Amino acid sequence: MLRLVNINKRFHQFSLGSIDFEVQENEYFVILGPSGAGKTVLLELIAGLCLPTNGKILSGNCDITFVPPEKKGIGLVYQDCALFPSMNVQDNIIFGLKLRKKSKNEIRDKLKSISEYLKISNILDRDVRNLSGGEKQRVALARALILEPKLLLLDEPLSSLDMPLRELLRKELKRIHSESKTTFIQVTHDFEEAVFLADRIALMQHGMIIQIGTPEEIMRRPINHFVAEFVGVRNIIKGFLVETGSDLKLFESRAMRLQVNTIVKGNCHVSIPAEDILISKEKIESSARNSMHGTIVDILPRGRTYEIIIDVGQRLIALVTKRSLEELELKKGKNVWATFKTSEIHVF
Amino acid sequence: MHFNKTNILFSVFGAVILIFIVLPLCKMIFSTSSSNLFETMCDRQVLNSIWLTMTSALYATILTLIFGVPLAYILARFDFIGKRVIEGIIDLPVMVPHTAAGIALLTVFGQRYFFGKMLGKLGVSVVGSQLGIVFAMTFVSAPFLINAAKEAFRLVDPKIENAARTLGATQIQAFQKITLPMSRRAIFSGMIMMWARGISEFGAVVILAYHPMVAPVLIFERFETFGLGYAKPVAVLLVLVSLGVFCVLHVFGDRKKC
Repeated sequence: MLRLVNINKRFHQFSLGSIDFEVQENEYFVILGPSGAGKTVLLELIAGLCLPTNGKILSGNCDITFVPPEKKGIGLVYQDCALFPSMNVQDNIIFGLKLRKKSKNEIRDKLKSISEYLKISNILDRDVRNLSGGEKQRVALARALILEPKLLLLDEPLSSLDMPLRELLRKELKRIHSESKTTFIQVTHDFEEAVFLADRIALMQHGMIIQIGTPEEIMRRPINHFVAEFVGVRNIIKGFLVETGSDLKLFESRAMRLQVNTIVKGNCHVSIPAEDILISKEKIESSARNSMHGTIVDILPRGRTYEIIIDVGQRLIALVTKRSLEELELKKGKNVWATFKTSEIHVF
Repeated sequence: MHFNKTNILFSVFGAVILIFIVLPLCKMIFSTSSSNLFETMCDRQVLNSIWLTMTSALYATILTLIFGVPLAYILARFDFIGKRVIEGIIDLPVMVPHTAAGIALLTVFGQRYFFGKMLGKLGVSVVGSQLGIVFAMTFVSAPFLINAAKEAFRLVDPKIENAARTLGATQIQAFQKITLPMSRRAIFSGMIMMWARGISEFGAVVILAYHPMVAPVLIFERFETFGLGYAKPVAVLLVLVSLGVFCVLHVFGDRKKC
């Protein structure tokens, strides 16, 4: 539905390079990256608010690169909502319909249905300067959605909200997306948010898209060290691969040797998902498993799970439930075995 | 406010400058007898001249509103090569001595010069006319309005305009419907400042158009020919009228806020 072809944008001190991706009809596409990665600029390029230095933006078969924003039919919601302070809530929401010279009846009906849908019927007369963060977001969403755009761009819509409210609105966004025909492209720096919402995630760093995939793909197979760290993969180890004549190679790092299954050669990183490390009191014998002995150096509570930090010559982090923590009587200083399957090790 | 040592010291220093401003004005106003003032109020020459001053300053303000506010918007929104130079040019009239500004204008609009000649052929005279007064006032007081408008536009987050664009507003509609209403109060107070500055202008006006006489020129002339006693009531009247209009405009401006 929307395709960016080799989009470049140069500024004085920053440039957006060779952006190339396609978003499918009714997809929830999330652009994830640290601040300063160029995510907002990318959205503004798609919206037509700034023009690329070169490259094309296609909608279906039409080149819409130079179509002005008011003719694109693409909605945009900013982090700080960008509500019009000179108007009340209702006038903000119907701004676009009024510009389109819609009839009074149509405006009234649409306003009624959108404000009920987003649960803001009771604040329509309020001054937008006196709204709470969550209310502002709902109004900004209503203002964009009332025009039924085929594509809605969301620029960090949740990041200025407090945690419980953020989770609530996150669910709300997902519901709105699933109940509408609109395609969503959202920008965020919050990995959890991306995983929760996205059909696919595009990871962005220094003005470039470095990996696109489903949340699962990105978590399981981060393309490089940056992605791995950014998505919160905990055990990233640097080392090199020793050829053994088959695909099953030997990975050697400063302090450990692992069997890995990869076509990568030479220097590399491996990541071992913390939740895939099995902790036991005795060694678990199996040819397909990597197993190592170490001492627990720390146990950190992480919500419903615990992070066990084990020194096996190198620090490994494993996630366990409270139940396993108690059953295995895990304590600081205790010696344990950490075991994980070869297939769970990702090499990059 | 806390009455600690620093605040008291600062207040004392502040009081000095306040007294310095208020005292001469009060002295002038209260040392003028009401009969004298009343006589002046019936003097057609004085009334005409005050009217001329007020309207000329108003025209100058409107002229700057039309030509200066768009420039203010461009300066507030965009970065381009030479922007600093343009900003410097706008501030220039504040720094140039106003008589020098008058001379400068004369070298363009004087009857012996190209522009002046051209306008003269069209039957328009700048020198010695209300048009000259308006030009002189515009030249010296435009920075007040342009800079106020520029600051006001700068305070409007471009994202708000962007949002309006994505909702279907063209650039000019976004300006009209969103940016301008948001900046309205600041621009209005810039207009008041510019208008006030125009009213008080003497140096540039006196060189470009001694006649018809604006109030500051009339005050000067009466002072020169007849002395303080004759100049003072005119000055008092001008101050009182200006103060009155300001109070009205400020109340008007504040009410718009709500």
